[in-house]
Amino acid sequence: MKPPAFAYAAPETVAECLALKAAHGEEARFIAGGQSLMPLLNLRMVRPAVVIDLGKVRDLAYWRREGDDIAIGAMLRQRRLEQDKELATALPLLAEAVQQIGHPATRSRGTIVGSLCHADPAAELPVCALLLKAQLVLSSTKGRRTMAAEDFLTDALSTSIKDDELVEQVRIQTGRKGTGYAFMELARRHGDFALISVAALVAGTAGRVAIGGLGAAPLAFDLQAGDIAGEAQRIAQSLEPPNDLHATADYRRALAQTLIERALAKAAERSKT
Amino acid sequence: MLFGTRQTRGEDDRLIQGKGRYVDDIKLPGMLHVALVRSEAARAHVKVDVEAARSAPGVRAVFVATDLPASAKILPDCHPNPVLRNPRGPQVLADGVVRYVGEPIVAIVAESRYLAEDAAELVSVEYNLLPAVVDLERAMSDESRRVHEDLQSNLAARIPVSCGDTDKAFADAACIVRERLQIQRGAGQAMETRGIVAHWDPHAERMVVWNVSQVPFVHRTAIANALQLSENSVQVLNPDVGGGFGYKGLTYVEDLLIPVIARQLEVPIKWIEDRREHLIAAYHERTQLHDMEIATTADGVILGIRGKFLCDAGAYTPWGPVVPLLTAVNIPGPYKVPNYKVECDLVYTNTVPIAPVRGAGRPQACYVSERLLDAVARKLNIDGAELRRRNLIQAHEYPYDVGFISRDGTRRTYDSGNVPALLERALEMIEYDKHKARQKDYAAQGRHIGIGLACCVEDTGLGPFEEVGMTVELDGSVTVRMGTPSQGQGQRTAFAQIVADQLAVPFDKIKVLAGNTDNVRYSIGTFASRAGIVTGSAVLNASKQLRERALKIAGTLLQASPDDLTLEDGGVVRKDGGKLGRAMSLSDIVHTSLGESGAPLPLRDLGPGMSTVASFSPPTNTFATGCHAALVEVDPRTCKVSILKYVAVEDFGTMINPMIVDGQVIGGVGLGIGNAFLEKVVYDDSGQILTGTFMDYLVATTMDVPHVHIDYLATPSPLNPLGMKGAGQGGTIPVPAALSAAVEDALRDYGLRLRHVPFSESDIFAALQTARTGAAA
Repeated sequence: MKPPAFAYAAPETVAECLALKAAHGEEARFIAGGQSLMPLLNLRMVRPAVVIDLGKVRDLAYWRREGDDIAIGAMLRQRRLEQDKELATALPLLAEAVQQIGHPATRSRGTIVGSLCHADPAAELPVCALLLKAQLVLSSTKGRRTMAAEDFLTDALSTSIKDDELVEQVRIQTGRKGTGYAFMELARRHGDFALISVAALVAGTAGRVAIGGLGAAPLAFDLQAGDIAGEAQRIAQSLEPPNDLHATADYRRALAQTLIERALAKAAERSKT
Repeated sequence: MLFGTRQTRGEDDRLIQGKGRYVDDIKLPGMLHVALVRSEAARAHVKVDVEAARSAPGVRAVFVATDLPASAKILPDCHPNPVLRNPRGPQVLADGVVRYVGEPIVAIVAESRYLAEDAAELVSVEYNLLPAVVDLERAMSDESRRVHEDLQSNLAARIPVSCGDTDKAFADAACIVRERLQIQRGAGQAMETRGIVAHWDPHAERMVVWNVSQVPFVHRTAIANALQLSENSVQVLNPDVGGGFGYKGLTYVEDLLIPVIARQLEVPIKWIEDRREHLIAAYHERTQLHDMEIATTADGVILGIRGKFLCDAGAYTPWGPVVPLLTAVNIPGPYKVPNYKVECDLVYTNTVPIAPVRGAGRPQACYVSERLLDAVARKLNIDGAELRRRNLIQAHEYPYDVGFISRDGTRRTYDSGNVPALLERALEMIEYDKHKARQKDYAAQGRHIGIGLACCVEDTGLGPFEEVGMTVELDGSVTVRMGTPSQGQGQRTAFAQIVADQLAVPFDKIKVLAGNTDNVRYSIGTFASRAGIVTGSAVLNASKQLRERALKIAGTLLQASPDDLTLEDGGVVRKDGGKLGRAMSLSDIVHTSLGESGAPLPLRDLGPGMSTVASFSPPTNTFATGCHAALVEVDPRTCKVSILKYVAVEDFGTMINPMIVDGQVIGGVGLGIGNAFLEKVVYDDSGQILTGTFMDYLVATTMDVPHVHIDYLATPSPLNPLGMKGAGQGGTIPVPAALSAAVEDALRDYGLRLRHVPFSESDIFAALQTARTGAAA
């Protein structure tokens, strides 16, 4: 479990990062918190020629308000969602979801954007990003483009990012008054990737859920009717979750139904306070 | 008295400050590093080409099977037993045939582990694949697939154990219950993996090996034989070791391979097992499939238990038939089973070999007997606690003759115990009656709460002996030398407590040395809950000898009768409180008795100094017992299980340090929770192992282990002078049975039946569907 040889670069500006990525393309990987990339390197499941460390780029570890959104830089650690009250209040769904991500030690290293880019099908933050229609800002030496989470998250461990791009920022809508949010999941152990995770929001008669743990990109559904139980059943029946070591597809579908129902009920209750 | 008191561990300051020294901390000049190329196939003929690896950067040597001396080609059976009719030892490096995924084929020696792993990727192994033997039942039926082609079948051993007349018992029975029960494969996961540093010292002409062994003397012999050296030309050292779980008490091919490489190259060699190697290639345990039946009277009194079970051997038998043998003799547990007949087939498969892991065959036995009792309770509509009361061996019936020969060849006799009292205490602590009475109310609130119980015995403190050397140093401090190293059990604290009481020396003036084969002459090792009892009793014997000697020397010097003297505060005093002619500390006694350089010895009849060697040999095992109770809540929709309360009531006889024992129990329960819910090694049909990382093989963490409510009731063992029983495994053994029962009880209205461990949320969901379909049909 030792990684193969790779070159290591630790630039200090975004421009340098982009130049390196443009030069090395798919041979180069960015590393932020390293909570996914390091194990993959040690298992020799990825073999980048160059690892570009974002850790020394000071102007990526930020969050700020931009209109109705919170803009989060590529180096903002997950732990900030727990420790920064103002951020947690602005993003109530993420603040709830982050409790389920690994453990304090991993959250102190892991970044929000890093989790979106790794796109593990059972990770929590992509589900939140999809539910809240987050926008990702992708930069390269050629310029910058903005993409919705739905278009960014294409499959398990797959995104629409190009070989020369860096996800510099994600923009997420702030929690709105009159809207209730809830995040629920079930994992084999606390901190493990979810067997199924559900993020839900309810505003008046409108509602939306996003579901992770499906073995592919998370899926989002807008509610078509007010009957929560019926909607949960309808949505769960349409899912094609995986069979794996930890759970069967049948179980996951039934679990999704329960969690959708419960998350919507909780979000509805919260929307009233 | 320090014996029996909660003393803070003397080890901990050092360890929690990061001052421990583990095998990977051993760094020698010029040391090279080994990476192993392991089989990617479960069963295949292999051809190996290592030329590209030989010329890779930093590579200094490459070893294949033909490079090994004849004495180091096959790992010897370290636990021979006549029931093992077809033993097959693991190949140190696979020679043309591989029999499990992870079996070592090539050793790369390079300047760093990184370079060694780079070169390992350049080794070309051509696999001529053969169909793998994975499923236990098929392994016994399919003659065409044999793990060892020279054998007639995949049967490694057939183990019969019986007493009484089961045919008659079952003919007379009012109630018979049959169950098919499965325990799936698990393993030990210590914080520190295995690791070896081997160094041929050309000046001393000696092989010096640092490793993580629980049995350094066993390893010393194995290494000496492999290198064709005398045992005094091999030294095995164990620095700090981060957890044992039993699997470090076994011998592995790397234990021979690394010293052989170091001898041939005459360069220090290091190999540290990485977590992936540990998960896919270190010995596993647990896999058994039981077809068992129990016969009782209409009142639920056990008349007999009979049946067959299959035990997975994996591809080789490095540790004999110990695991299935222990299961076979432990199924009756603390219950009266007058008629008993089981037969176990130990079966070769193309998987990692099976060898004892904490619990060692007993969790399976406890699971079987307790699950049978729960089935009887359900069938006869008798409360589970009441059914156990009716069947437990009563306090006055100890010593209790179980009726058959035990693992150590003696008649299996429980030396002392009072499990009925353990049960009552556990029921009280879990508030059994209260929760049972409220179950309907809980259900009305939509809460599904259940209780499970399990009782167990554990054969501990097995022989033949341990030896202890003890010296009072010139400054009056005491050095204790032993052969049973620590993997974290707190030897330095516990054994010092025994010495302190006998020699009246302050705790911090006693140094316990273990983990160096030069310390004592002979030893067996730390495993099977034996070091506390066997080494502890030898420590007591050595302390008593030195105490007696101190009084004798002091008596001579003071012209007093030793009977009038005693030891206090590191010196000799009069028993009656009167003044001695002069103060005499242990230091004075040593100084005086050693005499002056060049002069005649002062006390010629008594000999020089205060040093002794003592040993202890138990007549047979002593039996620890326990009763666990679990209160759980289950969400029938998500199938998530929450442990509301967990109670462990243990009888470990008299205890040296109950705080250390608490740690053993809590850790044991943690493994038991893993065995109940999480820890499962999975192979696919082709013998590929699917659980090669901690993402797939799940270990209970602090988040999964609740507070464990512990109590102790002691029936001192008559088999050793301090009345001790072993505490290493009792925490683990009953847990899967107790939690299975609790979860079934919580979902009793759904007709849930659990017949295998571990079980996941998804497994409970599937079992609920089966129950629903069964009820509809």
